[in-house]
Amino acid sequence: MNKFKVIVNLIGSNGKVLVFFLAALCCLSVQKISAQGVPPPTPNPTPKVKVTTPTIVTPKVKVTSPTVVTPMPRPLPTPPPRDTKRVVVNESETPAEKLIMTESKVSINLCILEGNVRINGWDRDEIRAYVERGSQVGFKIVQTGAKTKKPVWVNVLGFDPQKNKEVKPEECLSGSEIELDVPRNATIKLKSGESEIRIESVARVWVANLGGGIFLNDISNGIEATTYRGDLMVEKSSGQMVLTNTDGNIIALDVEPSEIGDFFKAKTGSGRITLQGIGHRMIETNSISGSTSFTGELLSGGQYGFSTENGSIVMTVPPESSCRINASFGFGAFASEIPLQNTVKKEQSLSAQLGSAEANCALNLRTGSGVIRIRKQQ
Amino acid sequence: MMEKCFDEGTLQAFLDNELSSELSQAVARHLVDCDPCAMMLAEVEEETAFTFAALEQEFNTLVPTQRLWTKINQSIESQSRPHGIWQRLLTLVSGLSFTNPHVVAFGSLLMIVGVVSTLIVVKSDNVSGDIANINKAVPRIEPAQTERAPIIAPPAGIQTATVNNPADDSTFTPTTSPQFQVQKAVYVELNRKPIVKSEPTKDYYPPVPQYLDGEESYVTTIARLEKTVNDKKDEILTPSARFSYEKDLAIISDTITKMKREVKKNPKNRDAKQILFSSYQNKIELLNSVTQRGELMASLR
Repeated sequence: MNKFKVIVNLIGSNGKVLVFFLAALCCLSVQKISAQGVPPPTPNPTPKVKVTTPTIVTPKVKVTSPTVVTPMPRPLPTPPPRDTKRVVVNESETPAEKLIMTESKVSINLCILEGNVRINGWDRDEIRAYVERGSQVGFKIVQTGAKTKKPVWVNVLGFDPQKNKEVKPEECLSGSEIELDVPRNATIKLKSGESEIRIESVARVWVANLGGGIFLNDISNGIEATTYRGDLMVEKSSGQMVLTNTDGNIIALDVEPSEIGDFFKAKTGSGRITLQGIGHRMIETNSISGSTSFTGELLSGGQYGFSTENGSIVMTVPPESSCRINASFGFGAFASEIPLQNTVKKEQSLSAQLGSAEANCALNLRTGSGVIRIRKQQ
Repeated sequence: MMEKCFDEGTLQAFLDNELSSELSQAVARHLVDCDPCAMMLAEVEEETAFTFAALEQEFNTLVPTQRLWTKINQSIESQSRPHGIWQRLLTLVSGLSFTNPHVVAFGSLLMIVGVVSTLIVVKSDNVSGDIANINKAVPRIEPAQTERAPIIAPPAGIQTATVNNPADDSTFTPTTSPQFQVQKAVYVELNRKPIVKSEPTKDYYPPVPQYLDGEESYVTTIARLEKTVNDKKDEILTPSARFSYEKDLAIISDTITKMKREVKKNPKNRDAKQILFSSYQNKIELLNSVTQRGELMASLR
């Protein structure tokens, strides 16, 4: 303690000199410390190199098997090389026309590269094929009837297998106009590239079109139609129907089931679905960015499902209709011109009874960000 | 006849010479004849003496009016003139009173800090000198792989030298190959183990996003489909079809995002879940439509 007093007295006596010394020492220290953080300049600057960072190897995560069955992706088919492209057989500029006798119930397969296609059902048990400004035409009988020995399965080709012996003849038809007259009870299976397809008065149609509209009329026993661009229209037809469109509208007018249990499905990406006079009791529609319009009766025992991602759903039904409504409208809204009973409304859904409570019809409406509207049919 | 007695205030004023001459004479005459007032005056005198004794130091302090004004004027003059840092420091120090023990204590503390800082600087200078020597030992220096060698396992092809004791250069043996040289050596303290990139343990799994019931299968399927479709969509889709496809995909993704947010907000929201799963299904079907289109194209070729 005495020593400390001595030091204090010493500091008191020579305080100014000591403080000067301390201040200078502190300044020197601070200067040194601050200079330490700055790297000294190098005479030959090294080029900038990527700074490597340690990589963390993450182990593989065990993925539990999915509980919901969803469609598995199918690998895309590899197109054949260019040198194997088949040759379109066309002997002259004159139209090609062929005719073949068949059974009345005949299955007809054909593919078309391009051209307007018109297929008509007629009352003869014959197939007549006509190609204008395009390929040749021919028939390949795949199967004949057991009793009559007439063809029941015919492939319509772009060449005549009896005459043309080219190594790789093009099987698909092509031309500006392609017409086929087929028996009324015929089943048409058609694959097409870029075509406008019109099929009338046949029994059954399976058609897939890469680009172009499809117009089907008076099909008696079912339709499965797909187009990836263009409108798809079905009119005055019956049977089970599956209509798919990627980029276009779907219109169905006056269609009905041919058997109990036939359903109607329509699905489009960017397009509008318009249904009017649909007699099916099982209807399911789905669109992504298009609206859906249904006009007609809600049948007793019917199961109706309409959904859109970003579009409105407008149901125009008779005021006396009765059905149980379940509506989900996400970020949309719901409105009804017909009074609803037993309404249970939540934030994004509504459950109510349309008409009498005895009806066993179910109407499921779903939209992500659209409006659901029920209108009175005048 | 005896006059009326005076109050304490008048007596105090009498002591302070604050009364008029007539009143002062009257008080004086009264005090000669009145004992109680004389006693009271004595008390007041004592109190006054005590008070003056207590405030004597303050009363004796001279107001340094002239000095103060002189100092103020000097300060103004000195402020107006430019001063060097040393002059300012001198002015500051001259104002300090070293008789004050606080100032002395602060000075001592400053001294200790200064000494410690100097020691640190001197020590670090020695260490950097060692590293410099190591660099000199390297025969050829290539461009830097890293700015500062990280204290981790070096990347392939880069070798780092480790100095166990910076004070002892003889223990240092650079393990460099002719192809790969050291840009900067790593100084590792004796008691510190070098951090080595370790393989993750078998029990470690990265955080897995939490899915709703059944959502994971949708997400997995979509990811697989997207991978398949993205490879070939340019060949399959025409520009207009591609536009529609991307637009529809964006709409679906937007709905999924919105609904996921809704479900996250309220996990019991069945409607949002229903729309979410429906959107997943739509996305799968949209992606599938591209593959189906590709199949159709292939079948027509």
